[in-house]
Amino acid sequence: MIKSEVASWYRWQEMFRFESFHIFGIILSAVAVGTTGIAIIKKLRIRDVYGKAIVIPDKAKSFYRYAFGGFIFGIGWALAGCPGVHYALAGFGQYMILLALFSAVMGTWIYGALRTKLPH
Amino acid sequence: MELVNLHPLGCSWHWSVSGISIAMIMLALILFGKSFGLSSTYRTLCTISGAGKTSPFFRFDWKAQLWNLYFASGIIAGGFLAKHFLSAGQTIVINPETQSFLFELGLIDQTGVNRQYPLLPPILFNPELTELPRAIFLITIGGLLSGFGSRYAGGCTSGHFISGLSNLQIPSLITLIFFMLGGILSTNFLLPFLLACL
Repeated sequence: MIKSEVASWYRWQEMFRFESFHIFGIILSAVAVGTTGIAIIKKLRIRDVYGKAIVIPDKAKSFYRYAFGGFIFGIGWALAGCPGVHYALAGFGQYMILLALFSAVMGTWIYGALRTKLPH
Repeated sequence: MELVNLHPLGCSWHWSVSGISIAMIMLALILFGKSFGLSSTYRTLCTISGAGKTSPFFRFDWKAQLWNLYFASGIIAGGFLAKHFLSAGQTIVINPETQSFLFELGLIDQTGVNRQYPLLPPILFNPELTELPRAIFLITIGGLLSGFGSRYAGGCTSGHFISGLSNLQIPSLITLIFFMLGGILSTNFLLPFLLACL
């Protein structure tokens, strides 16, 4: 993540201004390989290493939670990064990111506490 | 000091290398009966910290999710390796438009991204004491929103963008459209607004 600059704050800003293909390229190539891989797994009914059938659960059908949650996440992402990036940057020795990680855990906690009151 | 750049792993990697690696990691996790999604680790961390007392949402068998924390520690280790063994004065060249936008916000110098801080703007992530309160405020807000939003939407970049889209999930498509809308608003309007106010 560090080496391909996905973890770079500057790259996110570029992405959200549509001024660079970089992160879009990463996502598109990952999705292209991922879609092919999952299609093969499903087609050949490949089992996992424990011999169990692989079932990838579908995401629950809904609109509000994805729209509201996605929008809120997007705002936070542009400011302080997304979860995978937090871990990578912590390893890179950027200690202020631990504050982002900590507050993201707190954000999750708040969600859990308010969950029943939110439209899903 | 041109020598340092001769190592093939030392320079920045092409986006496709990263994209394909990410997909391979996801597929490997699926073959191990797991799923690729990092925001779930935040829920696990909440549960471990005792969040089960405040909401049934956090009452689940967190031990079954321990593998994901190990996975996250692997990413931390990866960040460490990148810094200490694979860094060769990596600089990031960004689009001149983005560069002048960030320069006007006072986040980078006119010459571009600071060589010493190729990943994060020092004014926010390595601030002087006088800038510390503003940095803490912005990062905390960002963290709270991303933690809240990812769980509300049921996944973050890895869970929806990569795993969800690869599995052709319509909910993931909806989510990532709103990820982008939120991010566009945040970068172009919220960030300049907050920086101007604080």
